Amino acid sequence: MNVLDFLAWLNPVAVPGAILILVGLWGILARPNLFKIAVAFCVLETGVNMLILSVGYIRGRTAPIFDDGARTAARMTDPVPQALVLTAIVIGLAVTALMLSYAVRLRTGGGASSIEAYGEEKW
Amino acid sequence: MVLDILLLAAGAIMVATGIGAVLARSLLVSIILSGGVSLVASLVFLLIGAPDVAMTEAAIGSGLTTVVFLYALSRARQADDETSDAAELGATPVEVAGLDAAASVSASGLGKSTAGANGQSGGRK
Amino acid sequence: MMRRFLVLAVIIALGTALWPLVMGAGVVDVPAALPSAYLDGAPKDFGAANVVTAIVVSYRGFDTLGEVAVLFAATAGVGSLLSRKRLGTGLPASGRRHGTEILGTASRLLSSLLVMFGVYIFMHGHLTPGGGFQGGVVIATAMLLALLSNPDSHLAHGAMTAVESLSGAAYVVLALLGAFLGLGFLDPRILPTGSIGALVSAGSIPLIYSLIGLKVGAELSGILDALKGDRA
Repeated sequence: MNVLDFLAWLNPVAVPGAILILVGLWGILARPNLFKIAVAFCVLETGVNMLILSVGYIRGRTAPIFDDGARTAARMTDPVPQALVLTAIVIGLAVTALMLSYAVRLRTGGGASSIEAYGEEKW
Repeated sequence: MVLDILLLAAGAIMVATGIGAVLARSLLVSIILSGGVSLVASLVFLLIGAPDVAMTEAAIGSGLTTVVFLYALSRARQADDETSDAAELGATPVEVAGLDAAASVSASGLGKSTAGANGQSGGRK
Repeated sequence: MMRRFLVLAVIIALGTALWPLVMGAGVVDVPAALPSAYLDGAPKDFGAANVVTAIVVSYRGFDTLGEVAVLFAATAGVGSLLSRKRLGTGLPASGRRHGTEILGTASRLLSSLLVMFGVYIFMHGHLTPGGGFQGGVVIATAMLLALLSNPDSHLAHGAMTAVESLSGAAYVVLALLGAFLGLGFLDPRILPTGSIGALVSAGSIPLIYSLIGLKVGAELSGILDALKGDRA
């Protein structure tokens, strides 16, 4: 298998997406700081969005927007994953803000920033 | 094929930035690096023909999310300052902790006394 | 040690689960039946040039309605978690540094222009890339600029609440109007669809997306204001 076959065999958008998901998961599980966990969550979210969008990637096609008639539906990519990811990004911001406000709340309430300090509340 | 190689190169940058964001010792650095991941992601989305998603990701992922993180971080730092000041002055948090400890002691004392009472009553039976 | 091993095991398990999605999956050559139907139908049925907008607002409009509700719930959660009543006494406002003269002047100049740009983005959501979510974010950025230049200021909460709830209610009313006219919940054809490329086209899609834009803008500005702190 030469390089070109290998490139055709992979999905070039899904590869970084999957690796980012793994990096984000590792960050969530291995880092103790609550703010660092939120950062890792953001990285994971970007990876998930890329993985969803990779399903709609079609080589040599353009954005699904019609203009004066030069573009036809036969030259457009899959619009459904784009619509799904569009809403997911906005929700992601709101969820991150909620997560951070919990962290700030714990911190101002005299709690620690490290998740290790909340061992008893786990169950 | 050229586009594929470009996408893979952008993906390599994203993965490196993401690992940096998770590993970085300073929180500020890791927040800014995670904004960078989103910025490169929006470039990738633009290249694969998703301009709507690219706009959203650039505005939200690398713009507003970073700002939200920085505001939250500054709030947490303020809280740090407040508690450390209070501890130096021997003000409210210590008193609260003292009250808390007293309450827990009395509660456990109550628990013991009732347990003792139960034991006594059990003994009487 | 044990924990590291478990973390590694979880990551390897997820990696193997993701493997078939990435390796050997390749890239498809033509869209599936459903996207093809949307690509054909969006300009023909609704007169919408941007197919993604047509999907977000009408084909999957119910999804977006739920999404806006989730956004509202998250905003309410942030606001209630960070309210001064919950956090005890507020922090002294005197410690805040004020913005410089340059920032103040530039933000006075730019805020209104940014709001106008956001309105432009969501009004043209059915023609060009962009729409309610992007336009709403741009409006929130204008509010952020105002908050940065004058840290003691606050957004007018009454106005924000009014914009947010009125646009949400109008969204639901427009959606229900489609059902009452016998077209279906959230059908954009309650208004004439017009010709592709005109500003007044695509039925109620630009109207609904503008309402979403106002709602998202108000909610995200509320999140920023709540996270900034010192809120009464």
